[in-house]
Amino acid sequence: MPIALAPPQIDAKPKGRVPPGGFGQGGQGDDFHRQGPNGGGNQTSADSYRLGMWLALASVTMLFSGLTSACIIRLGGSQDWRAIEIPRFLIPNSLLLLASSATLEMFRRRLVATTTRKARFWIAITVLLGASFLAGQLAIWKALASQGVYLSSNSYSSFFYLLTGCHAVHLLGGLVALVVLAAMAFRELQPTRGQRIFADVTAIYWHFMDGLWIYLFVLLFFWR
Amino acid sequence: MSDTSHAHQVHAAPTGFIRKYVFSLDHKIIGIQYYFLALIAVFLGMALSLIFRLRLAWPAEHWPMLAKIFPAGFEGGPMTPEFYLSMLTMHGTIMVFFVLTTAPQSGFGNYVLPIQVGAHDMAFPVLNMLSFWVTFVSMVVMVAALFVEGGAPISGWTAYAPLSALGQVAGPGQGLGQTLWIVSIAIFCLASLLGALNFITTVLNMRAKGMSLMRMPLTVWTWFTTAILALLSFPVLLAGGILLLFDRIGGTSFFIPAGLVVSDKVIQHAGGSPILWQHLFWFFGHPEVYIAILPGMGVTSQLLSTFARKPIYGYRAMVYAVFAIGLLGFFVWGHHMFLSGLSPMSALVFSMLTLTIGVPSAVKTFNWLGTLWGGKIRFTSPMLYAIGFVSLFVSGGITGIFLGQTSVDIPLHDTYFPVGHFHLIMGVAAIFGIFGGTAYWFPKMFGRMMNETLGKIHFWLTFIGVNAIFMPMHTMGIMGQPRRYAQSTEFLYLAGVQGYQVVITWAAILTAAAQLIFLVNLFWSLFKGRKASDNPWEATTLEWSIPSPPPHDNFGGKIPVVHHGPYEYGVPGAPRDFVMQADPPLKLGKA
Repeated sequence: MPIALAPPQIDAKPKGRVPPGGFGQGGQGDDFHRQGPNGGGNQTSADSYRLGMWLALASVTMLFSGLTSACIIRLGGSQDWRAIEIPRFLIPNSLLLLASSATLEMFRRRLVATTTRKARFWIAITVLLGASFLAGQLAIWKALASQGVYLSSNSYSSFFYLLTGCHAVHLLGGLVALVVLAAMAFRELQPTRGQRIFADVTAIYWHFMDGLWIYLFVLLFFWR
Repeated sequence: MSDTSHAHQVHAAPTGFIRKYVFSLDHKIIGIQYYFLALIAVFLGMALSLIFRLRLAWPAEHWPMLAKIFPAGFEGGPMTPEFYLSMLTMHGTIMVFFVLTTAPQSGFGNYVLPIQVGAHDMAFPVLNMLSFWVTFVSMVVMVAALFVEGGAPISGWTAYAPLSALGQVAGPGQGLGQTLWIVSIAIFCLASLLGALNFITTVLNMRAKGMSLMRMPLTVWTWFTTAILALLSFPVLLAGGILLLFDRIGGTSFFIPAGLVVSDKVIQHAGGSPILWQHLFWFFGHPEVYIAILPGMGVTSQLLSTFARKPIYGYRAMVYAVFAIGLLGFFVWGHHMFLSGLSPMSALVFSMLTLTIGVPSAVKTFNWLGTLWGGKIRFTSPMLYAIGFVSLFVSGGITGIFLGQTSVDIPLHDTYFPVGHFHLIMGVAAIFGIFGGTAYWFPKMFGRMMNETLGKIHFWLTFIGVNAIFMPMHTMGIMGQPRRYAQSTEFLYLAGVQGYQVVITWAAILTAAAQLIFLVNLFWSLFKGRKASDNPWEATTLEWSIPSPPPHDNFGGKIPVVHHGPYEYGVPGAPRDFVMQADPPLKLGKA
């Protein structure tokens, strides 16, 4: 079955009419399609959860901007810079993470559109891929340590451990969310609205961590 | 979707004590929790300042009472310089993070913002509860730093590296105390993230019908802008904190330069840059200044309009000015670093951008004056605090124009001049915003009025007191008194300054005593104050159209529809001199 290009909506909006007074005149209170018996603003919508997630990711972006600009400044003017031999295994390991994003997207679209039965396989694969990536990162750190390259060895190794470690901590949080989703998908047939929203924002987070990894990868692997 | 029965509905009113008052999801309870946390913090911070003021005024004096509490700080009789520095550090840190960041934004913002936009609660009540309790943990860790071996850190609230990165060798307090400081700040960063994304989402997505952006009260605009600043600036502090922590415990050299000799010991680190910490810190630190002051601006706008019985002058200009201040705040961090070896070219850019902030600030000041002009002013105690805010904002802001210019900053850098400057504008002005907000919203929060007479006495004593404390500091700075020195009596050129130190310390003691009036007023009014009506100030925004105190879900299940702007006072032809936001549209005859 081909996947539709536009992802299905959780809170579907009817097309057409413009709310009285035009758009931009208020929050969801003005979005009359969504108003319950008590008027608007009574329910935290899927849009709000997505917005909250994007805001959290803006914050994560600033964290990594801070860390990587420190990295660029520190390495730019440093006398103690030493190139380290990064294990080649980093490349296939990165592909695992990219693949997990694709499988998570398969899961999300099936979950939002249908029952969990068709989604189960994909979330299981995603958890597996995500966990494998983290295990792979651990293996890379161990390989570096066995070469005698530690956190404090030189400024490059410090930033390598720090940035990959910070990314791994964020990813670990995402993995916990994935495990919760998987448990839900295998236990229940019909996902609730809340669970669909949870899958939706988890996917946003996971894809973002994926993109963040590409950025870190370019920074650490090519800019040595 | 049809399965909305599973959706997150309005959470029901809790019945048990724990869920109602401790781990509450209600934004109003959380706001009050933040407020009282800040209240404890402000008195703690003030007590610490009095301790170090004693040392500045009477350097050789013995203080047996204090020596009993902090024996390590009084070895050999008088207060040690290290102990003085640790008190200074903790005063600054507690005041900036747990008072100025916590009370105006998290305290009043949490309580009032959802009601003012017409929402039953914040967008994410659970995150909201978490943000308070994470802040609480952060404060516990910070206060613990006072009581660990070696005492509190001595590196100032800016925790400049390499002093803060070296550990015990850099002085007592730089061991466990400094580590706790960093951990506490990192926890605080997480809490502020949770709060900020809640505020932004609530403002963007939870407004009631008819509450268009340009009908939002200016308080909401300032809390919203502040939340954006917090969302984007705290993570950078967190990044700096992580690096600093690794320098301390991981053996890395992010901030510690090579060949450093401290206390006759060569430090085994290589190649780090202390300036890097300053960049990371001030990239957070300057927006932080606006995080402290912007909510005060919002409260002041609200109060001036309400008590002058006039619409705020230039509402849109006020909104744009708030945004301009917030935006420019991200591009001026270098003005804290004019003496750190910054290239003259970038110093020039930072200087020009800094002076640009004078424009939106002046817009706000003139609009406040324009609001007062020709108004039917009611000099209630909240109004006095608001006018006091404008006064302090001007006297503290003017000196910002001085310091923003490199040529003036170079001689004045790290003297008492900037100490006077930032205390007036970021410290005391923001505190007056908090006082104003307290007096204004107390009837709504607790259903009782505060005592007006006590409020006015407190206002005048505090207003005169803070000016007596911080105005002389400008003179001292021009005379060359360096900040952070425990004692300056040995310097011949500072012989004339010691008299000022004594005067300031006495002024500080009296001003601190005056705060007891506020405390008495607060707690007396909580239990014995006159019962408040729904709208005692005859104000217009949504919180005044519901009972005092409001029910659990604010509007009793009926979200209002907004038909009016936030400051419609003295509308010609209206039945009263104010039109509330939720009033039905006016049916005016043809003009």
